[in-house]
Amino acid sequence: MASSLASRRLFQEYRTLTSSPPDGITAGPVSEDDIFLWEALIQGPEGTPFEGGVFPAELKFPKDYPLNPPSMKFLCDIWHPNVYPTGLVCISILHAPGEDPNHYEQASERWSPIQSVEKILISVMSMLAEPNDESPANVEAAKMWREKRGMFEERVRKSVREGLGLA
Amino acid sequence: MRFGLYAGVSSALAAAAIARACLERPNFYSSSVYIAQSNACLFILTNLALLSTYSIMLGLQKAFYGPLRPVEIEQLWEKAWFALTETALAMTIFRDEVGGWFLFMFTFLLISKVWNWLAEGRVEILEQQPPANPRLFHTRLSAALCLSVLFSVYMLRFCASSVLQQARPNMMVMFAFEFAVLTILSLSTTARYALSLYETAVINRQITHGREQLRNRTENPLSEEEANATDIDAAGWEEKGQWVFYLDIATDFFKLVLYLTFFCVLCMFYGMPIHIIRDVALTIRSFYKRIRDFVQYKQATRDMNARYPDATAEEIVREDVCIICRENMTVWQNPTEDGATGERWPVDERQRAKKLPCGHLLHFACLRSWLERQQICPTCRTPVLGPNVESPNPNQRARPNARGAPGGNNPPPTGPHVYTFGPFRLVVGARQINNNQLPHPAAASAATTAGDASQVALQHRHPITFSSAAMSAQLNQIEQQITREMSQLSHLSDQLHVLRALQGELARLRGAQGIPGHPGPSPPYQSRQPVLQQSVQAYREVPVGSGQRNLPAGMTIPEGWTLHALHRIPGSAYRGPQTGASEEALQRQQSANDYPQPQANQNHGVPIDVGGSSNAAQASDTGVKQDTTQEVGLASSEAEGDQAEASVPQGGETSCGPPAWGSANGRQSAAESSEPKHQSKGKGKAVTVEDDAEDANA
Repeated sequence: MASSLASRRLFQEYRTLTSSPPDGITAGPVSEDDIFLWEALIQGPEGTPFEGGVFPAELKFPKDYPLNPPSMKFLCDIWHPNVYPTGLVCISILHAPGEDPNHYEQASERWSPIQSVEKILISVMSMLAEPNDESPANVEAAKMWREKRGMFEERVRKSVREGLGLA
Repeated sequence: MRFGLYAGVSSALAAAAIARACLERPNFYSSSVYIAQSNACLFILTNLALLSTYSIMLGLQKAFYGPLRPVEIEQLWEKAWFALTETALAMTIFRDEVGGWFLFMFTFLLISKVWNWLAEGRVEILEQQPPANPRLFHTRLSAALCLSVLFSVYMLRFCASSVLQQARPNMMVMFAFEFAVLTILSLSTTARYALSLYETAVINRQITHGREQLRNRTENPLSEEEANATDIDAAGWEEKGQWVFYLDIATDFFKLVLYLTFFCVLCMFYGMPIHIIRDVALTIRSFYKRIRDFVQYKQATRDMNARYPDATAEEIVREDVCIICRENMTVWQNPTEDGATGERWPVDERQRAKKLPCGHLLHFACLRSWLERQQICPTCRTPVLGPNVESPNPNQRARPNARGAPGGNNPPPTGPHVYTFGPFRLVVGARQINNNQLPHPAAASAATTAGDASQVALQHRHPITFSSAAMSAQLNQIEQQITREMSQLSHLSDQLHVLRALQGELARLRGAQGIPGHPGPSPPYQSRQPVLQQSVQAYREVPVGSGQRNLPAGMTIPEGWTLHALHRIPGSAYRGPQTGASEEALQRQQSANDYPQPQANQNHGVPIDVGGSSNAAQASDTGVKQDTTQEVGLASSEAEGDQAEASVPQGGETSCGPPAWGSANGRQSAAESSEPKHQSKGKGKAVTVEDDAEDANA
């Protein structure tokens, strides 16, 4: 079966993730029937306005998974330059290999089978800590981050509090 | 709910309009005429017609595709908007013919497009995961596909015949073209579906076969239930990727032909169709890319067993997990040698560990499916193809990756690039060194000398083994590397030499013509000899210690110091410091390093190249001599003179020096300018440009 490689590998990654989970990250398939749809929980990195928040995200894997990257979408509102308003995460590690049509990213930053779910989630976590405002997915957020850092942080903190049901 | 309301209102309106017409007019004929002439009535009726079409299609969709997933609906909307705008653009060409008939055709077109998209999506889903109810799924899908193909073929024939009947191009040309594209797409979807079906069949056969084997095993046979419960690791249909590739290429090719035909027809009868130029260009590009990818893929996967060697046991110990499937790799045993494995041969073949030219290991099947997408190593992104393949050990090579400076003129095809910008600036292209062995200090310092902001990427991919054989091999490589870099450097130095000459000449001519606005005399040209080659050779000579007899006559050096003869030019006589200001400047410049000034230099006036081997690279610029008799390198590492020979400067230290340019001020007097400009402290590139009496006079 074409997907057996993908499902085997996803299963393996799931096992590694559950046996030795990295700090602040939990992930696993949503249901047993569909190993191609995962849900992940990412803690906001410490020392950033995202600190204290827990951000649920959804990972969708293609059928030829280790050869092509999954897509990742936050299931909550998240105000960040590299997250589309729809919640879709835009980082280079999640972009398919091959030539970048915009010639913006280096090929070395992009997806390769050597990456894994764990690495993706870690990258996303570090993306939360250090936004890349060069190719923003959310232009408004990028502008605010660049020009009014205080306002940006305040807004993020507020949304984190709201997400936790504190505000 | 909302749709129901809308449908109800539409039907009520239509009924009211018809009833009113019938009641107000005396007979059927006049009421039809009224309806046909009243815009409001027509609008209401069209609305109803569209609504009913939509409902019929909804019913058909429910019958053939079942409930749609949210993802599918999302995709449909996206694609539908795109198709709508595209056709709307095309309509501008046939704007005279827009009317009821057009709307009719357009609706049909859109419907069949949507139908095909749905089928496409379903085939993809099938490849992703097996359907819950296979029989229903396959019946529905195959029926839908047949319908799609038949309908588009029928519409194509209809459009084509109506165009031929009228014998003139009209909007039907566009529809014929659209339906032709659709026919091709639906055929391609069908073919893809057939491929998936075949794959399933192959896998089923493999699984049955595997179970039978388990059951009929001589020792420890499994019962029927046990065998059925066991998960059989089916190999799958390996050539599928290839067939999909062929299918895509064929589809692209036909689409390209159609686009070109349509383009030509429009050009002939209507003038340049600007709106589809983009499509044509994109199709051509994608076709070209596909062909190129295909050729590369074919190249990379041809004779994979011969092209990529099997991994040896040691290599597997070092790297035992295939990074694509994250499963262990084992040493592959040739079935012809080992009869026991022959039975399970297909599985083993797929998991045969293969080594890429860069040294990374992968399973045969994983590698193959990766190469279908990209022909680079998934770990380090070294191209699998290309000249490196032939090299026995290409990952130990430095790969020159010259980055050109913007605005440079006529860069030489290979090697470092030399550019001139006006009278003063001179940029030399950087080299990127990609080496996974020991840091290459010589290369690094050479790169520093050659370039400015050179980027030295040193990657350790494998743990370095410190056996003596490996060490000597590495040293040999380093030596080769140094030699290579040196020859490149001398080449570069030659180029610099020529450029200086040209620059000096230009300045002289400008000065002679008295061009206004010229910033003044530019740096003069000094004839300089590249000495790198010689200095390299010199390092192989035995150092001369203090008090030894083969010390040059009249030379004394302090205790513990050793002397390297860098370069001897037989027959030429040293002219000494009294020859002129500019020469003196040069000599002082030679000692521009902050290394301890040896006594020998002052006592005897012999130009000394101080500082041991870290000066090897600098020798190309600062250690340049005019009328040199002897160059003597004093290895001054405190009674460890020999060490300087083998030791190499810290690569990182030397490589990151910023470019330092001593610019000459044209208004300086000759005497002033003869003062040497001391440059960076033993790192980075130091090029001093000083004025010359001759130039100032000119």
